[in-house]
Amino acid sequence: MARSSLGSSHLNNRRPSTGFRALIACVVASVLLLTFYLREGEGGPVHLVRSGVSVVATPVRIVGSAVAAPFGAVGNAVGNLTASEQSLTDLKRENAELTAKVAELFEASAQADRLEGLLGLRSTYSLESTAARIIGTSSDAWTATVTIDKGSSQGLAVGMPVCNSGGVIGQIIEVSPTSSTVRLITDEQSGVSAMIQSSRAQGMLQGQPDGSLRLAYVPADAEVRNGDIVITSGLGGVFPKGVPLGVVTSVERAANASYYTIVVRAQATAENNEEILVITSLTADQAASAEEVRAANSAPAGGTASDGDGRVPPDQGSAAADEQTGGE
Amino acid sequence: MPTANEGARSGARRLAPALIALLLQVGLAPQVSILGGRFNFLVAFACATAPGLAPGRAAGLGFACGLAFDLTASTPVGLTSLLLSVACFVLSTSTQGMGLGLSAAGARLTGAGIVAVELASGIGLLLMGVEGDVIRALLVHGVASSALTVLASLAFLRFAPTGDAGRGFSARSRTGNRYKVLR
Repeated sequence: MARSSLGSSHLNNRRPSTGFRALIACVVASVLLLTFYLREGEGGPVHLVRSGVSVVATPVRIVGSAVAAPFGAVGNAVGNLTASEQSLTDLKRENAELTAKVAELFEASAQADRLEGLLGLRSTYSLESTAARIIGTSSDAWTATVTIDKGSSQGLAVGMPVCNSGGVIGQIIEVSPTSSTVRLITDEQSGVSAMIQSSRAQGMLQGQPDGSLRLAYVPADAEVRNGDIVITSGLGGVFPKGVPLGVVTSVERAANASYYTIVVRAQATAENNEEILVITSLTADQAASAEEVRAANSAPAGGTASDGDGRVPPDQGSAAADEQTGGE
Repeated sequence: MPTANEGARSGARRLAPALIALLLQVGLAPQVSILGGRFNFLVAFACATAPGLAPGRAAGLGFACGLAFDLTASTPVGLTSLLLSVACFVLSTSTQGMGLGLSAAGARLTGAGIVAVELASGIGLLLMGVEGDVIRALLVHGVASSALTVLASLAFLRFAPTGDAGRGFSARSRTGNRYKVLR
């Protein structure tokens, strides 16, 4: 082919671009971005742009996570299948240690809750008290008692009431220098002056052979319903007034009966190794006032001086009531 | 003369792999980690596509993909865009804009570009204090990520352009004449 007489053809007028300028521009832009990113703070423009991109990308990431989740489980399964014997042994040992630790921590947490409850009880009722711990329960099947780890050397005495964070649990009946025996309110020989919190109907909370509680001597014309809270009345000056005893679970009245038959579920239960409070003294406002005693005495109680099981209805104030169990 | 529809389809064909790479990078890459390495779909796409583009366009593509990666990851913004701009420019220059597609040569070239970018990225992170361990930066993150990203690039090579159309490149013969090369 003859060379064109025109010299260089129009094909050679434009030199092909090498793209070097574009490269320089991209490199400069990248270096500037990098410099700004490294030198600016968290609130700088580059960081803000990244935050904005992250907001836009979040839905995609969520979808990706949902799609990849099943494959992650498969990966874990494969990893577990190929785990060495040593790994399994180590993991089993670690599991046993952690299980024991969890049990320990759970117990510590429960103890902390109980102590917190005791503190709350103490402050709510302004109780002058000494803390102790239950270290044993009764060894026979006929009595409901517990042993606590404090005695006369710590200032405890017979007749002192005992509570836990749930309410009254019993009364001290025996004391030695380093321990004391507490008769629980569910004991057959126990009796606590009580009243219905809402209607103020007075009665005597007595333990039963089966371990349940009955609120006796509540006049049949009093207002009592299932779910009513039973509290200490303070009559007799042994238990502080207003401390929870239990909840009414059934109310019955036989035809022509003067009193209700009221079954009460105990608010507090005594368990081994539990923290309790021994109330060492009562203030004047923690005992029933003279007016409250008069009001209690004026309520029709009926019955005789003794109803045959050693319990005397609280018809004439604390003196008769004191003949009952352990000082109430 | 290409019609408007053909132009639109061509544009969509070019845009689709980019969009797919971006979605995979944002949605899937964070979920998959093998031997300490992660897929980098944007680097894979850029290195697979660059050989078929003109050098200027390749540099721009590398910049865009690198910037997209930096903005969606936790690496310093500007690092990957810098490395990828240079890598894509070099890849394009080495093939003179004639893409090799899904071939052994194409895979080798793309793989070399990816390994270079990943290792350089590891060194850069080391120098900036983001990474503290040389072995981890280069061998664990660098090599492992390179292997995964090369795997991902094979799919993008399938759809990579084989050359920038419409440019009047000419080649010199031994006698110095210049004439248009048929594609």
